[in-house]
Formats: sequence, structure tokens, C-alpha cells
Amino acid sequence: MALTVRRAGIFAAVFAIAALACGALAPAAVEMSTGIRYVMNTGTLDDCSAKAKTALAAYLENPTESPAGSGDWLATGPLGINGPPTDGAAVRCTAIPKGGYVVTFTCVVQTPENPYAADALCLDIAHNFSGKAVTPLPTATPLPTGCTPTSLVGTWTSDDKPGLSFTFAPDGSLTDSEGVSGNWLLYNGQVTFTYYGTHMLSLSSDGKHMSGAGYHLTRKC
Amino acid sequence: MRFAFCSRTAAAALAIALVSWFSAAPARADLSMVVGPKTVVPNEPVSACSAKAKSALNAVLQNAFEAGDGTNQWLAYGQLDSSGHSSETAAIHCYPLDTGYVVTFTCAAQVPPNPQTADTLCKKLVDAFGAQASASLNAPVRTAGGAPWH
Repeated sequence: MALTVRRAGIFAAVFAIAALACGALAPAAVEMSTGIRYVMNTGTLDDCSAKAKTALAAYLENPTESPAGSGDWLATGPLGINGPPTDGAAVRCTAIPKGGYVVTFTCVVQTPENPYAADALCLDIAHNFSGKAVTPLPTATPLPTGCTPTSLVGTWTSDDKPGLSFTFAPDGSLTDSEGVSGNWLLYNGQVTFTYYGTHMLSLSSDGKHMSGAGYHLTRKC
Repeated sequence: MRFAFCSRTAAAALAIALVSWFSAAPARADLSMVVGPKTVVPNEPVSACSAKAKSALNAVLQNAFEAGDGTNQWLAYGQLDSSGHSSETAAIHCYPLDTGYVVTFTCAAQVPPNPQTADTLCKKLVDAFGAQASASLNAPVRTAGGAPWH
């Protein structure tokens, strides 16, 4: 009986420790901007759509109307980003029966990754739409390469498992030398390493080594 | 003794395997934005839209606020995490149209850590608003280019 209780205790402790080790995710936040709305007494839904597409394309990638003819446009970005999008905007046009249209602007950014705020993005898209002067937005910083503590992009080799290496891609994915894939996320020197489970590793201050959860990796610089 | 050790080891290995299995969600946080339906509601004042927008946002998210007094454009965020950040947000816009109004829903979420997608969030808001029974200009909730952005 006592042994059973002890085993249950060990099981619970191991489960709790493993859950804690696996449950640490990097802080994330979304920021939304809305409120800019233009009411035009002249013009058609098509006019609005054309301007919406142009305004979105000036700052984001691949503006798409969905469904076609709805006047609802959506795009993600920033422009020229290499990796998962960190912002997006919706420009929604609605025809007014007596003539003209109403258009609203809604923007979202992911912080702290995005290089500018949602308000700045929405203001520029709205001003581009209406032909007003725009303030240039900060450009996305290219992902660093080489041995840097701010990114893991590159090739990593295992210190204790000969022949095992990993390629960390800019989009947060990784592939080992045998083609097995996973994901990575770096935040404040802590690496969430999803590869046969999710593991927490620490990156060295020089960006050359990371270790934890039985993994010891060194980057090729 | 040996048997007990092996049993404990097996139990521990099983526990780790189970936790690893259940916690194997992708580590990368994907930001998704959804343009929800655009709906025309006839014979109802825009103030009714505003009231329903605020109520729906408070029911699904929290602390709904108007983006400028009298704009009839409402915004809310989800629960804050320990660092004071939220990973989901939505906006409901109301505008008077003829004898009624037009209302639009726009949602965004970062998954993980957010437990629900932007698509799910928008569907809940539409249900809470009660707009699904009204005439709709557009098809129901949709996501840009399919599911989360990549």
C-alpha cells in the first residue's frame, strides 16, 4: 500500500516537472488599431476596392479580396519579411445605397516582433488610401545570421551525438540531418525546441551553444 | 527491489512520454487575422448595434471600449497573461445604413499561446451579437488565404 502511494507520488512529481518543463511558452501579444473611417459621398465599391488594394500593397504582402466583389480586403506583412507574418490589416468597403461608400481600417501587429505599432500602420494605410502624406514606417530588420544571440538561423551540430545536425530556418522550422522536422522559438536567450516533444534549452551569451533537456548543440559559424 | 526500480522507471518514462505527446504543439506563434461577416440589419438604430457590439465583445473577450466616443466602432482584448499582454483581440464596426445599419467583425489571435483561433473567436462574436439571423452581404467567417498565415 505504502509502495503504491510512493509510486503514485513519484509519478505525479515526474508528471508535474515534465509539464512545467514543457509548458513554458514565450510571452506573446497582439495589438489592434481601429477607428479610422472615411465616408465618401461619391465613388463606387470598385473605386474603394482599387484604393484599398493599392494602400495595402504599399505596406503589406498579397492583398486579397475575400470573397471577390465584397469590398473586404486583407493583407499580411510586413513587406519583404522572410518568415511568419507579424502584422496584418483589413480595409473594408461598403457601398452606401444613396451613393458613395464607407471604408474602415483595422490593423493588427504582433509584439515585440513587429517593427512598428498598429496605429502607425493603420494611419499610413488610411493616408495612402485618401492620398494624404504618409510617414515612412520602420523597415523590418533582416533576420541576423551567423553566431548571434538574437537568432538561431543556421546549422547546429550535436556535441555528443556524432553525425546529428540541425538546420534552423528563418521561419521557425528546423530539420535534422535525417530529415526529421520540428520548430524553434527564441525568446530572452531561452529556446523552445520542438523535436520529439517540446524542450527548453538555453542559448549561450555568444550565440554559439545551446543546451538543455539532454541536448548540447554548437553552431557552425 | 529491482522490480520496484524498473516499475518506477517505467512509470516515470510513461509520464514523460505522455506529457511530451500532449505538449507537442508547435512552438512557433502564428498570428492570424480574420475578416468576419459583413451584415446589414434593417429597421434598427445604429445605437442598438453599438449596444450589441459592446455586449458581445464583453461576453467573448473583456473590457470592450469604443474607439472614440460616438464612432460606433468597438474593440476588446482577451484575458491578460502574467506579463499584462493579450493574445487575442477583435473589433466590431457599426455604421448607419438606410433605416438600419451595417456591422462588420474583424478578429486576430496569436496561436499559441492563445487557445482559440481568430476564426473561432469571430464565430463566437457573431453568435453573441446575434447577427447570424440577419441578412448577410457576405459569406460567413473566412480567413485570408486559408488558415493561419504562413
